[in-house]
This record gives sequence, C-alpha cells and structure tokens, in this order.
Amino acid sequence: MTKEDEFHSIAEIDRIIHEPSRLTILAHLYVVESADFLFLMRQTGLTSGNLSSHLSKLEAAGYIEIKKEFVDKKPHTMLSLTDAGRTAFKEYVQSMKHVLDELPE
Amino acid sequence: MTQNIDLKEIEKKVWTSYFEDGIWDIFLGLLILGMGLAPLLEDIGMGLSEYWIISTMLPAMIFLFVGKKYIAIPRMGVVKFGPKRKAKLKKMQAILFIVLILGLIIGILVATSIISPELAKGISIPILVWIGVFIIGFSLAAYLLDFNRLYLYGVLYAIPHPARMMLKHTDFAGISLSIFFVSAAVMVAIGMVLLIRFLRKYPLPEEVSND
Repeated sequence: MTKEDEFHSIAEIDRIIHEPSRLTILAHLYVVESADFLFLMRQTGLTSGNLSSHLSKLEAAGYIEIKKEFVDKKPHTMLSLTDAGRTAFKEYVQSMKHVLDELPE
Repeated sequence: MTQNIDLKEIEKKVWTSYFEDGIWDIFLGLLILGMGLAPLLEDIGMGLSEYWIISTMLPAMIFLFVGKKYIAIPRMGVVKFGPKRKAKLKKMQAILFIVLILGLIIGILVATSIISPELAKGISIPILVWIGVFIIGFSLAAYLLDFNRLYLYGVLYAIPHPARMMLKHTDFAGISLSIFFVSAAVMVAIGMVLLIRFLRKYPLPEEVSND
C-alpha cells in the first residue's frame, strides 16, 4: 500500500462514528434490538445532556431512529440503529481494522 | 479481532445488567420459601393441598413483577435484546417453566400420597427425579443465560425436599423443614446484597431529558 492509499483510508474514516462517545453509543445499540434513553445513559456513563446531544447528531446522520411515545402518561424514548447505521458501524470497524493493520511497526 | 471481543463484552455486560438488581435471586428465594411453607402448614395440622402450595408461592411471583416494574426499570431503563438473546431467553423460560411445573407436580403427587415417598430398595424415584430436574434444569438455564449463580441455586433447590424426606422419620424430623428456609435465606441474602448495591449504583433519575 502506498502512502497515498494509507492517507486515503484514514480520510475515509466516518467522523460521525469516530467520536468516542458516539462510538460507544453505536456499539451498545449494535448489540441490542433497541434500548431506551435511560438504559443507554446507564450503560455508556454519559450525562443526559451529553447523550442527548450525541443522539441528535447520530439521528441527523440517519444512523439511529428515535421513537417517542408515552408510557403511563410519561414520555419515553426508544432508540435503535437504522439499517444505514448498522452498515456504517460495520464499515467503520472494517476501515479501522484496515487502517491499523496497515500501519508500519 | 479485538473489535469482536469488545462487542461481545459489551453485549455480555448489557445482558448481565438484567440480573444485576438481585430481583431474580430474591424471587427464587421466595419461591423455595413458599415450597417450604406448604409442608410446614401440613406439619402444624393445617393440611396440605395444591392450593396451599400455589398460594405460598404467589408472593414470589408478585415480587418479581412489582420489583422489575417499580424498582429495576425506573432506575435502569428498558432494553430489547437481539434475536440470539431472545431465542436463548425463550429457551430458558421454557426450561424454568418445565422445571418448576415438574417440581410442583412431584410435590403434589408425593404430598397427596399418589406417589409413595417411601424408599423402595433404598431409592426413591420421585426424589431422584426431583434432584435431577433441579440440577439439570438450573444448570441448563445458567449456561444459556450466562447467569452463573443459577448453578448454586440448582443445588439449593435440589437439596431441601430430599433432605426432608430422609430426615422426616428420624430423630432430626424437627429440623427437616429448616433446610428449605436455609436455602431460601441464602438466595434472598444474595439478592438483597445485589439489590442494595443496585439501588446505590442506580438512584432514581431526577428528570431524564428524552430530547
């Protein structure tokens, strides 16, 4: 692989996913069918505001679906990966492995 | 395959969080406590019927439902697991259901003298079935669920009834029932420790912004 190819691979890394908090969110949603806001907050250790902000970015990118509903008259938010989000996450993992494998020792 | 290992660990962490609250442990403890209460009622002359057996187990069922709905979910949130875990969960539910129903049927048959609890040539078939059902059932459930405490609970479920049958006609008849309560106490104590730890770790959120 030429240096130009290496730079090209690095440039192709999805910057939306590459942020550590968003990567953690996506990894958690990848292994389940769906989870609510509180569950994700507990599992990722993010604050409510932080999680909310990252979820908005992921939703804008089309990677997650946010379903709002009322349970016992209280607002309840369920989150799940979209097909595009699942594919993007898989591709990100492959890209990272590819980039890291090709790095000189 | 570091990434695969990490995802597996995340999935396992998410899954095991389901048992972190100790509610299942307390439920299983209360259930065997109910199993012990029914023969205790018989011993004090209130008779033994399937109604007693079922009604002494009812509080455990209510605790499981109320505990999950009003203690665990408001603190931990809700998750729907992926298809593989769902399949495992269904298998586990089927196994536990069969185990508990078989245990209940054997208990009723023995209690109502349809099956003789007396030993035949030193071996009692109902007792062997009882031990096998609980050890195998709980071990399978523990394996399928990654819920290792179930191995111990299988043993704690398997011992009390055979011990009661063996001790009933000896000088130790008075303590034959206490084994049920010891088993229950161990499970409830483990569950209570986990529940207290859970409540400290996950206090009720003040107001979760869902935006």
